[in-house]
Amino acid sequence: MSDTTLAPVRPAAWWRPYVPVVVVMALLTLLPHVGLSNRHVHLSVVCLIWAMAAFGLFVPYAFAGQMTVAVVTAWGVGAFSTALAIEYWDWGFVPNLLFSMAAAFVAGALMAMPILRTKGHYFVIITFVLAEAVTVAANNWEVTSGPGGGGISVSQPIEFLGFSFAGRISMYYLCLAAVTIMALTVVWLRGSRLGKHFASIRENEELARSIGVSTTWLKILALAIGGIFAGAAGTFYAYYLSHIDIRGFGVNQAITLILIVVVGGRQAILGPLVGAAVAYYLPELIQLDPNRVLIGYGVVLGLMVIFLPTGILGGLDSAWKRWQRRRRQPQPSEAPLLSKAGAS
Amino acid sequence: MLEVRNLSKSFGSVRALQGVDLDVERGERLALIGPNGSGKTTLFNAVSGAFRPTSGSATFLGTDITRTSMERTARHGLVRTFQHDAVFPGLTVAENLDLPLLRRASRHDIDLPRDIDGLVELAGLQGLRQTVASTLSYGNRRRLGIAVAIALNPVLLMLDEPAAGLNEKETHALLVMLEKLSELGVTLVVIEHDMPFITALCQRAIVLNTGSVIATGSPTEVRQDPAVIEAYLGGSLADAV
Amino acid sequence: MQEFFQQLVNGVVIGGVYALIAIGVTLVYGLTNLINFAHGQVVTVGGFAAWSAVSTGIPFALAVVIAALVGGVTSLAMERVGFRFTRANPINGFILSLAIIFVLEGLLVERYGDTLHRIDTPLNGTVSIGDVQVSYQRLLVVGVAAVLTLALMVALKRTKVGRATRAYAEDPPTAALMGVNTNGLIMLVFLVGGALAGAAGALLLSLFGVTVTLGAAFVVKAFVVSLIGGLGSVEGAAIAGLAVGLAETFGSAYISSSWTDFFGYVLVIIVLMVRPSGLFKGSEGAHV
Repeated sequence: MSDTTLAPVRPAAWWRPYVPVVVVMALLTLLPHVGLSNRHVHLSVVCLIWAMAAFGLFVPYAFAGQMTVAVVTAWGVGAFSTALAIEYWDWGFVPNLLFSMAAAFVAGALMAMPILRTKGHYFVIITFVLAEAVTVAANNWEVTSGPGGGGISVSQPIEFLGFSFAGRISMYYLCLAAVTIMALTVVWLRGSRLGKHFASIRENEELARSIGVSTTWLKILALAIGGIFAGAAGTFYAYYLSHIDIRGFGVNQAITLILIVVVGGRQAILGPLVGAAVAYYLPELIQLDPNRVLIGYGVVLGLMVIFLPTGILGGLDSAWKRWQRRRRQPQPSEAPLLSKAGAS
Repeated sequence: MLEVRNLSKSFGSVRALQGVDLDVERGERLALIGPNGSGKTTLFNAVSGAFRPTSGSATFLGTDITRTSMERTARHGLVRTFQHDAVFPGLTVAENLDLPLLRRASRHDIDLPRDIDGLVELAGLQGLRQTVASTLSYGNRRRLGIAVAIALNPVLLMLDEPAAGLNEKETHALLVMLEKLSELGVTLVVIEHDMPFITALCQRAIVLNTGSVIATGSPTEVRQDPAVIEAYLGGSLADAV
Repeated sequence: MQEFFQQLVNGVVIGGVYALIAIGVTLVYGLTNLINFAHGQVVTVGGFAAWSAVSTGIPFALAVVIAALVGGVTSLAMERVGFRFTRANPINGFILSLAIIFVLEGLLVERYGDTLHRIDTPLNGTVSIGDVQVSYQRLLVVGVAAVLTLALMVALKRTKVGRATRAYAEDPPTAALMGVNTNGLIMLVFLVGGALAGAAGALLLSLFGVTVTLGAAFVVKAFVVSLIGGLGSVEGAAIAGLAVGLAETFGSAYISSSWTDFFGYVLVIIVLMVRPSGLFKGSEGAHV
């Protein structure tokens, strides 16, 4: 497994950070062909959509150190933008996608404005309040609460480049492509000049300010960029699940997104994907009822935060590095163990 | 180059700074000393933009920086270092220096090293390029923090207790680095308690007590100033000789 | 006019409950910089403990005490089992609190299901104050909330432990140097905050009944109240609690009841724009 720490890339190996993403995504194209049931393919699509939304949290949190609950609101804005654009203006896939991304970007930026007036941790609380406030407002607006408060339906499939992505498998490939583009974009962002600015805010905000970084505005930008990803996730959500409801974009979903980012690994680009897989495949494998799933989520997240804060991928990365160090320099105190095991 | 006039700062009813006047000349090495609670760090913070003074003014190279933020003050060429949390902990030494170098200001009169290797050498951190900053020793971390600041090519560098907690060897390495910086044209203002360090590095010292300036002169002169000795409650200065 | 006073009473009643819950949140933040959204679950747990107690015939007054005890223990357990390990990184603590929400809510659903649990009104009858009919039960709620809040404020000012708490909140390193038992203080604050929240749960049971989502609904309000009052300030939480309670009640009565929650949210945005630290100077806690 190659280096997943946040290192700036030296010119000679600019392509190295992209490799894991490309490899994993290429492998995932085989998924529908390994004999999965329909339900599993469906879960995979859902997984991919959640991973997209999780990128909306990954950029502000993993890059700039800014936790937010309002990512779920941006996701909802994206979903409703697409659904409403279809309902009122009969737009096609590409305009919907662009519209959702733009709307969610604006929503993310607006919801980030309180940063200008609040200090540090206050803002995290504000994002919680904002998510709740928007939920209340949306429930009171007929446009978003839908007929009889039952939400809005989307009955069109995605028509793109001459193809109709109506079925599960075609949606899987489309979403896989979208996630791949997002992951590659995030890799690029991390190594970019902007990405380095974000990292400095995460690592030591006051020091960043002392070297001239406008931390306040950049935090707002990070949140807005996260909005773009969440907005795109909203488009795919609206098309694939065909029905959207305000209750799908609330605090419970926000906590799930946080779980996905933390469990997957806060420093790994593929973290959101791994986290989404854990959140959606694991309950399926273990066959728990929804309430037990909730408890399970809580236990997993809690244990992760305390014992393995760098997440699954972070833990694997540390273990790999430890193993590599041991291979190169066996410690004297370990020599008896090694000879027992037969290694030299 | 830096003119502070009648600077005051109150925190509620506590008057941390009272009408401080201060001039820093280009190229000098100025020490800011005084007992704990005398207002040295408050003065630092007010000038560098960590917070706004209650009254008074500060002018740097002709620009009014009284109410400018830390970011903007840094962009003008006045950069400060931190005593604690001085580096980007999760990044390597090279990564720590990467961003400030990207933000480096070009000047005609000051030309500090423009690449990571040059800064690493200046800071005495050879061989540690790929070391994660949080694993560095105290002294190395301190010098890295200074290197981060000078990567910006600042005109005036304000150092907050750079020698605090360092052993003799580390203090010497720090002294060497700061002397090199001075030779390269950087003006230094240093808050410190370590008198031998100050005496070796600085030509002039300003002594604060309870928010006001009580003495100024060469380190040797102020050490013998009766008001200063009294402020330190008779002893620690003389002991530090 | 009568309507006005009726709403005034309602606002004070709900405001008192908000204050009780917010105190736990604001005290903990003031000392440890921890944003504990799981505090809402303590309210729910307290409410259900009271319900279980009353169901087995225990008088309501005692049930409130039981709820407070259960709440205190639950809150303390959260600290000992979880938050103790995230002190260095409060945002991790925040994430942990979200995890705890899931666990506790799930466990409560397992045990109690998701229906509304009610009890018969413990104190029946109303009293006339001027033109307004006020139920004894509501008076009791206000009374309990006020007594507990005032008792805490006095304790913080007058007792040794209270002073130590305020000292630690103001300046953690110095307080530690002066021998303040920071670990003990933190545990105490969780215990006391949890006890108040548990009691609030019992009071809510008597007014509206409890469901497993009770805490979730109230914890956001508790944070809104804490922000308005100034994180770390108990007086602030008390006053802001009343303010939010009144704003919601009047807004709901005179503007629209489907926007009830929104009034508090609007209030916090306005207050923070004018005074970013909240109404009262709280404390920044362990973060100097």
